Amino acid sequence: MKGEIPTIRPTVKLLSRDFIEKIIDEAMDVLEKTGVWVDYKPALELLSDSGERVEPTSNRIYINRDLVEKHLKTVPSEILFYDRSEKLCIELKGDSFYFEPGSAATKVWDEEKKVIRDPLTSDTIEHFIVADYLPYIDGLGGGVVPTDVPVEIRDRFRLFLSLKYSTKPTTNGGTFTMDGFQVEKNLLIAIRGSEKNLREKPLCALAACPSPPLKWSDLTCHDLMEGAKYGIPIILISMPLTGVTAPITLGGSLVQHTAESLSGVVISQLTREGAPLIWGGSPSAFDMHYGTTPMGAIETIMFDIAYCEIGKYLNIPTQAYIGMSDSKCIDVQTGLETASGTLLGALAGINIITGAGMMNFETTQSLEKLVIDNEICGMARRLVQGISCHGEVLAEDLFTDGLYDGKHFLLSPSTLKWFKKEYFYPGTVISREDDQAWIKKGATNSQQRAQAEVKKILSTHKPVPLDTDTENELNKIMLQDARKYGLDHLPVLA
Amino acid sequence: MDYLEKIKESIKNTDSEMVIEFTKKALENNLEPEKIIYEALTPAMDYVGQEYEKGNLFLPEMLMSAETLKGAMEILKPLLVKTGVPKAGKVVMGTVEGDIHDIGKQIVCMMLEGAGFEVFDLGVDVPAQTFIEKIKQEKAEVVGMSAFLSTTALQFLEVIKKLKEANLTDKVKVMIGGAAASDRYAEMIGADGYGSNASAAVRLARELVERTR
Repeated sequence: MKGEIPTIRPTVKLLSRDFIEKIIDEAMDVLEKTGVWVDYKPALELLSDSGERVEPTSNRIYINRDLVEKHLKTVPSEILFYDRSEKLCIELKGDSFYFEPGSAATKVWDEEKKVIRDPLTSDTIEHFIVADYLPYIDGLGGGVVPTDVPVEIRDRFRLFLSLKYSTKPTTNGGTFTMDGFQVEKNLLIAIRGSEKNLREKPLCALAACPSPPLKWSDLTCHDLMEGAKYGIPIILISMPLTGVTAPITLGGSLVQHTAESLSGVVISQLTREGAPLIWGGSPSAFDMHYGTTPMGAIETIMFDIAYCEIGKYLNIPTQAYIGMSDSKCIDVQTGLETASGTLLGALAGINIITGAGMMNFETTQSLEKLVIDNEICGMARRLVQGISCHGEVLAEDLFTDGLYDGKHFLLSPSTLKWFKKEYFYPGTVISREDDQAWIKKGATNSQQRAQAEVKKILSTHKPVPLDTDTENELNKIMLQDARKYGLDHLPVLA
Repeated sequence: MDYLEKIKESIKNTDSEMVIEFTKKALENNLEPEKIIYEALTPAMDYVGQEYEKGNLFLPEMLMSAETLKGAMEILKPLLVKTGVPKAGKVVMGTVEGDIHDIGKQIVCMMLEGAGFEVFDLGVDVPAQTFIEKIKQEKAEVVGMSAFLSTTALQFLEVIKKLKEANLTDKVKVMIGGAAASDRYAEMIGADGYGSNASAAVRLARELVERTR
């Protein structure tokens, strides 16, 4: 065999090219014939100014397929994220993939007390500190929504905390009020120093979620357009519920997801050509038995992979809420559902995989689960590296002189060269010692080991602090905003 | 210059050239071979063993340190014979009759040598009688037996029985290891200890030698 043998990038695919094209074609038909409902006046004006037909008595607007095709051409095919210190760390393009925790949990799982409870600011801070530490968690999501601050400011307060307690870039999730975007933008500019620098070096992506079926609320549409103006990447998060707020079949729901996302593309690109967008989503295969929205369902995972294939076809970076569990406590179910989604998401090359730490239908974060899921992310990264053909001779050890029965290769030059590079070594959560050693160490299960690891991280990991000037600036912006909603001082921070 | 520290560092860094150089330098500077062993080689290997057991070092790295240390031992051994300094101990090692699993026992041998023991490795599929003869011949203080299979682990008992018959149980301590062994198994068959890994086996061998002296 001559020349280097390339390594195969393992992958998974669910849609044929014909099928993808059919879904997109039908989605364009939907936009033309059924239209979308847009509750935000500036967006309606923008659309009608560009010649689209608006129904006179409602906010319903029909979008021509030519317009969609035109605006698809200007969406950037890659987005680079820089961490707080402006170091390039995430490149959304091709089949690259990055892990971040499941975003904006409204509850936390308390492993010590074995209960689901309301999060406090301290929970949000701990979440960001642990996520900052974990090596296979590349970015932050919207963390945990603290309930000890006024409800109106919980969106930007999360972002404020993530910027303080971690250097990793973030996708802070959706805003809760119309003035949320403004504050979040100001916090980000405070870090970057200027609007221009923030535009050139994105630190945060924000979410804009259309309401299924086919509707843009004023708040999400506002954020979509503001994001476009300031060059803050917006994740389009269409979230069809199969058979409830979207057609029952996966194919039918994919048409709706595509139509909603394409209408987002048009609104964004009409606002500013070349505005960065991420083709995301949070669909769910509705459970007709319990009336719930399982995120660990295999069909939800399949839906995620399929719409990301459509995003890839359109050459737009992708994101999915995948790799999470619907279990209400940390148990076998959390592991099996999270691993399935995470491994498949990585194989599919979904650029942002949002899920780690999340359970209970995308509502509940757990520090212990986050630590366990970090190991799954590490495994997924190793899996996608594939098996490489190292060197001309693969089994050098079998050709060395002096090979005799019973010889071991523990000290052979190739072992010493490759034993670390070729293998992924998990952390303390995964038990690989023999039973005797396991008994000596206390015969723990993975939850208990994760609990110990969380305690260790929280007592030892000190995130890189902000410089004093920037921190003062952030505090000022946040406090000013908090005062508007009756909070005289911010909760005491660690 | 503290040569003992340099030797320790070289072992930790698996730098076999430097370990030899510093051992020679230490001798030139009139450091006793005994001092070099007990204050540099042994503590360095103890450190490496602990780091391995904590999960901070990998098996090949620990074994590389043991290999590195051998270079110093080659130089010191002849001097020890001259000065009559007591060795860490004499250990007869082998995989029991009917069992040909070799690797684990080999690793323990390497680590024991690294720790300054004189090791007599009988190999695999070793009959009980062969263990006894070698123990007598070398006046060994410890016998280390390995078994991978629960069926062959019964051979541990054979050797222990023969030691009793030969009235050697005060002079020779028995340690067992391998997948078929455990703390409980050692207790049950009347062995003196079980080593769960190579580093633990070295610790155990030291304790057992203490008890015979």
